[in-house]
Amino acid sequence: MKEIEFKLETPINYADQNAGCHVDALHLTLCAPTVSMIKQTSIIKNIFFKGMNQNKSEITEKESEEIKRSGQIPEINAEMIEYLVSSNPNLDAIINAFKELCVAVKGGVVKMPDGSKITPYLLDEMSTTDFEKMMGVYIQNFIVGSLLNRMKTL
Amino acid sequence: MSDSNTIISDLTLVVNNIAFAIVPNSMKADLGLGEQEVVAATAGGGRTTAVYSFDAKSMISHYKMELYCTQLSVDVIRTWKSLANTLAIKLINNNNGKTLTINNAAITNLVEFEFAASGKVSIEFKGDRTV
Repeated sequence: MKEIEFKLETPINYADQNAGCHVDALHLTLCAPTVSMIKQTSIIKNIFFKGMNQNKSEITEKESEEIKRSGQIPEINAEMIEYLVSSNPNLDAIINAFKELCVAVKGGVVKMPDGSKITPYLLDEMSTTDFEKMMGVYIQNFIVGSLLNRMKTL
Repeated sequence: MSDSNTIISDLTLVVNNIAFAIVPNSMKADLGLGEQEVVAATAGGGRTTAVYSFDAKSMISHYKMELYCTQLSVDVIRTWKSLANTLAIKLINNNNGKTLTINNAAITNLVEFEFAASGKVSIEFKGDRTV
């Protein structure tokens, strides 16, 4: 199963369950979602594309500037996704669905360096900058990225 | 509220990264500061000098608290019992965000679940000195 290492700007102090002590986590591991989490991923995908359609003129303008500048269609990266998520009118619904996805009892797609799943307490301890970045990286890599890149070639 | 005139009673217990609700006012904590003793040594001629000693045996953390007997409590206590010496505990003072941290902890007492209305269970953690 695909996994990505996500580096934290602000370390999270957590209980390493192999060592029995508190240490700073400098990175997290993001894992691909399974079908058991399809409800949350569908909510994110649905709201994301709805918001994208509403912002279409702005995106097209930005994209055409980029195409003019570089002469080719830009790659859809995590920063772009973060921007699109942040400008989505239903941002709080995306955040809630993503939080559920992170701490889902069955699954839980974010792992600490010791291999344990992130808990609601640890998620609350995370800095907002890291959380927003992580959401962008996750949504790009596991939820909408491949579809967006396929749509680009149509 | 200032730190000097507020008694600490609003604490959050976090064991292995999971926050738990405890019975109010049930927390008692020995931070592992240890027991010190000052004894007199005679220097002759009626003179004495104070000799200080500490008992390293008492320099471990010892936390006592009560939880309500829910299914969650039963499940987690069973897990905690099996994770001897690998529990990492944090107590957070919700008035100022300051934390007390205990590493390498274990539940040491005989755990008795009181399966009754308002039933409680007492647990005791012992671990490294509190930091």
